[in-house]
Amino acid sequence: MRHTRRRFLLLSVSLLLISALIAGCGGDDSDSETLPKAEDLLDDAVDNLESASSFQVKIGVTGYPVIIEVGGLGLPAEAGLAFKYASGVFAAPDSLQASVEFSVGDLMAAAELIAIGRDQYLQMDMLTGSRWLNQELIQGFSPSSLLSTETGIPYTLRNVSGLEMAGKRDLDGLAVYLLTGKVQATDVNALTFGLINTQSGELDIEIYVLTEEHLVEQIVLREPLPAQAQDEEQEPTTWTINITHYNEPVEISAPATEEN
Amino acid sequence: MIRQSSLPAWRTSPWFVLTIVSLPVFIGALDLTIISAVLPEVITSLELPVKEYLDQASWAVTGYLLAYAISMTFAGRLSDLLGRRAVYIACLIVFMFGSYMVTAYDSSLINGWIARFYNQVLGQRPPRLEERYLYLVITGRIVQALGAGAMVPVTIALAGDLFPPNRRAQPIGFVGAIDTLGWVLGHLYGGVMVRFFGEQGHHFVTAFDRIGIAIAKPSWETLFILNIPITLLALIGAWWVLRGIDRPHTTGRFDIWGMLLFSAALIALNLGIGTTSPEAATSANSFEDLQSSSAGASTLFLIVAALAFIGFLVVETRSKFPLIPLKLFRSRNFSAASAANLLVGFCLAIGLVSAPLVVNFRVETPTSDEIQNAAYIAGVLLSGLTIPIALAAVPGGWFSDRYGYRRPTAVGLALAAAGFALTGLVWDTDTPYWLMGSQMAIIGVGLGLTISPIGTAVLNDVPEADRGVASAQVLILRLIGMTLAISSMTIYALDRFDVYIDDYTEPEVVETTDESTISATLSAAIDVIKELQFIGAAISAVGVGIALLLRGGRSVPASTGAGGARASQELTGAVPDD
Repeated sequence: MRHTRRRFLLLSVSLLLISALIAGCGGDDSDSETLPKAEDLLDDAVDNLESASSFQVKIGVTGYPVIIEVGGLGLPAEAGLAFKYASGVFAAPDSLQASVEFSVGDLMAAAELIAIGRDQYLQMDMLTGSRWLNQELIQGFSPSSLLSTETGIPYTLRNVSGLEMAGKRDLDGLAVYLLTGKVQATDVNALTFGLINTQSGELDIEIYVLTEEHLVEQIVLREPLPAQAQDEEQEPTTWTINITHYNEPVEISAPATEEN
Repeated sequence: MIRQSSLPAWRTSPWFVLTIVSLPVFIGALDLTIISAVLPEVITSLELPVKEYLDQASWAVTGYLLAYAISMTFAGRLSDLLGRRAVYIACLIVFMFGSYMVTAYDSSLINGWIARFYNQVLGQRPPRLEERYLYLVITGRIVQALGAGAMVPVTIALAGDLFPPNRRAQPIGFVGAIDTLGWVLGHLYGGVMVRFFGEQGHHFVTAFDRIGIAIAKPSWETLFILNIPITLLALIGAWWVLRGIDRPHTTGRFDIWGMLLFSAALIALNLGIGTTSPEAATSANSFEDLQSSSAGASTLFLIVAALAFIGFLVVETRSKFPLIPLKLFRSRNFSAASAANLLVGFCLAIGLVSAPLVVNFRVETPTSDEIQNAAYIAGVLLSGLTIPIALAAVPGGWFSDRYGYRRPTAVGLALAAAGFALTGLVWDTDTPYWLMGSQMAIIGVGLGLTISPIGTAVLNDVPEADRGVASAQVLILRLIGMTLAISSMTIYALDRFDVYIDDYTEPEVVETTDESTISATLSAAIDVIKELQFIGAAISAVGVGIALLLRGGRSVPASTGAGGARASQELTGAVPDD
């Protein structure tokens, strides 16, 4: 019995120590090491992004809703489709497979999208059942536009104004540099798939770059609250874009549709 | 036994103590099914799409069931070693902490830890925040279940400590009834409360606002928040009433390898047969639903389950202080009661799944209103089975006291066999629900009658030191029986349905109308469900045969000298029944 008690005591203490260890791993890692120049670091990170053969991208939205125009999909205009989250894999030069989640009123729904070049394939329970349709979900979209030097993510990042190095940070256990600045709302189409509410003016942008690999890990965009929402107790829209799993082997192929 | 010194009579009343400690058992059992009715609501509130996450979210139900069963395996033994009071109080704290965890899913601190753990320890990116929320709800549920499940065998063992052998049947029946009542009502309670919060919740917000307290509108989370003060009260109550309980004088070590191997076998078995929880099964709309709500059989997991179980047997044979002393199975009463309980679980699952399937197959147009209405009818119809189970558990104890273990168990299973046979003969595509409900009540009464004599037979057949272990085994075997029934009967039903649907579909008719398809489907489904009833009848009949092996259990006044000696012999089965 004494052994049993001692064993339980030991187990409890071990659990406490592990918890303390995990808790202790966090915190601000600001130290005295020399920080790289913001422009050089961003150039480096954008070069890495442009030359990537593949990456995963996750886009989440919080705050004031981002409404999706649903005209082409046969849904009623009053359906109130709001974008919530997307998670996808991009494979250079021109393929993307993504799962897009949106809210319809109080309900959440999801659609699967595969885009190869100009061809888009859509599968969405409430519209297509389990079938894939060769249907354009995002008008004129081609995956290659994500890395376009004229409209893509590299273009957005190279056009950040007032770029500043905010220092070294701990992003959920990852060592990153934080860069801050402003970006034109018209320059963030690729990052937000053209869904951004703000059509003009500047947005605050935060860019988190991994300290070792100089890869863009996370981009945070903050939109101002639209005029019509000022009276509502709403938080401004915040876009959080995570780019991860660079250069991993990915194969994206067109799904079987009814036509083929 | 309770120490009598200086305590008032009511305070030492075993029934008073048992009532106090049974309340958390009820709450724990209630939570077994509380979330199944509101699972889509939970997923939606976490801003996740229901269809894509229902599979993962169903672990909030299945995980609870598994953890509930696993904690039963070791809590009884632990209470034999450390004392009922200490283990019972620990169970309550674990349950309370789990309830808190369910509601603290959006804690930025905990979510930060998880993200950090993924990034630093696992070397991979963490799941998105909403997924982490869901996983935390599931984790909280599992922690809750570890406490809730553990309370049941400890409470049954307490009944063994509180009552002399010749008076144990009724209290054990009482605990069985409380446990059954909890999981029977959980589904209904969860659904009704969440609906009530949705419609009337704003009144609470306004009322609290008037006294200067800002609260969020009550929702499904409130159900778990309510657990905290209730458990706290129960904790104080248990602390107080269990003060006089003697510690069992068991020595030895806790069989950690036995526990790990048995848990692994149980988890792998569940994953292997790909079963769903009984609650999820009762809401299936079709045999395909029943199949899709389970993960599908996996040979690998079944092999792991078999290996783990063999490992468990080896460990138990060699261990000086085994988790489940295998020598107990040498006793005829212990083995017979255990086997009968496994079959009771099997029959219970058939009863639980059949009625909702009939109701749902009758839905011609699957609109939202029709489905909601069918769910309501299925719920009411199910109560025709489950409420009699809970109600009959208490007279089952009374009969056990007077006629021994054998008669109420055999009569109960014979009643269940008759009920199943009746449903198999009578149910048709247009049988009125009241008739179905009344026939299910026969099955319910039959199964309910067996709870107490089976539990008492097991408990009275083991030494005092093994009561906790024995109590756990009674319950686990019933859960395993239910699990086996759902998986095996699903496979059987799908196979038979294909045969029947071919019979009902005329091959020469090229074009079939929607009406004829619906009619053929319903007819084929009813035929399959009727076959399931006959299987239930056959299993119950086998149970009657096993029940006839039970001996003893009649209570004879212990104070009558030689009669007392005979009572003692009868309770342990040394003297055969008439």
